[in-house]
Amino acid sequence: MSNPRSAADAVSFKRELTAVIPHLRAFARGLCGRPDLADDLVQETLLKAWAAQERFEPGTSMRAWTFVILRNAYLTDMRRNRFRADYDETVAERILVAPAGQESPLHLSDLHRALLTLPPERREALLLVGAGGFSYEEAAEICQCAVGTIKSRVGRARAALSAMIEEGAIPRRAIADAVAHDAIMEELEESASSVEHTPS
Amino acid sequence: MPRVPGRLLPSAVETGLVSCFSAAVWGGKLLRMTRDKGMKNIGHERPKRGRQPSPDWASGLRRLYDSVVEEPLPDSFAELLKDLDSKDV
Repeated sequence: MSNPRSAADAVSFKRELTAVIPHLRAFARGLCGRPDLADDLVQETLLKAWAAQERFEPGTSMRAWTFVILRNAYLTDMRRNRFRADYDETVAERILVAPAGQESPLHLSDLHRALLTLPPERREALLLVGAGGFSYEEAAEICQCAVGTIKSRVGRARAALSAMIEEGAIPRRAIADAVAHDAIMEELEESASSVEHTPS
Repeated sequence: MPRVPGRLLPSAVETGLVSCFSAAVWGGKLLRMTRDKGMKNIGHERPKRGRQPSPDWASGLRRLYDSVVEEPLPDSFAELLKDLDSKDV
């Protein structure tokens, strides 16, 4: 580019990038379960985002833009079999889901484990909409698919989680890993075509 | 104009066509019946496993996310951010 951005642009880009790191960590943790791998993924995302900063349009959502980079990095790493949706029991067991007075003794760790058994595309859709607070439209842009596809993935993810929770059929760690891995393998072919895109 | 039973009583009371006493008796019964029926219907019609998640696990999902958002950042991120400035874009 013959017209590099101004220093002020770089400063504000970096400020926005810094502000979004906690959200990237939360999204990554939800996707891949293990905090150390999730943070590796976030660091990889930050480097890629920094290198691609010319392509970020100021005024648009930094969170959405970096989430695209993160999910693409995740799917690429997943194809290389780097992640197997491992789950860090020690961290999540400490957190209880139900505050005092609520009837359901569901643990956050149970919920997280159930989440990790979902196929990655449904998991990420539910994470974006149900945890990250993105609209269906924003989630569709992040996942580079149709709004209807996102709605369907979120619906299936919710139904699967509800069924698991209501039936008390939340898998233990080892099973969760095996189930998730099978599901991942099934969906990798489907997602392979959209992996290489970077946000434009 | 046809009237549905639910609308008959209040309008009758308002226009003074029913005495206060009978309105109270009838009204009490009717209201109670309506309310009971209404509550039953709500219970039946609310899908246990519909498109919306049950509130407890739905909020758990947000709390999973928020609990990570609220964690202090590991030092490695500060180091990475510091190094970015020296990288060519």
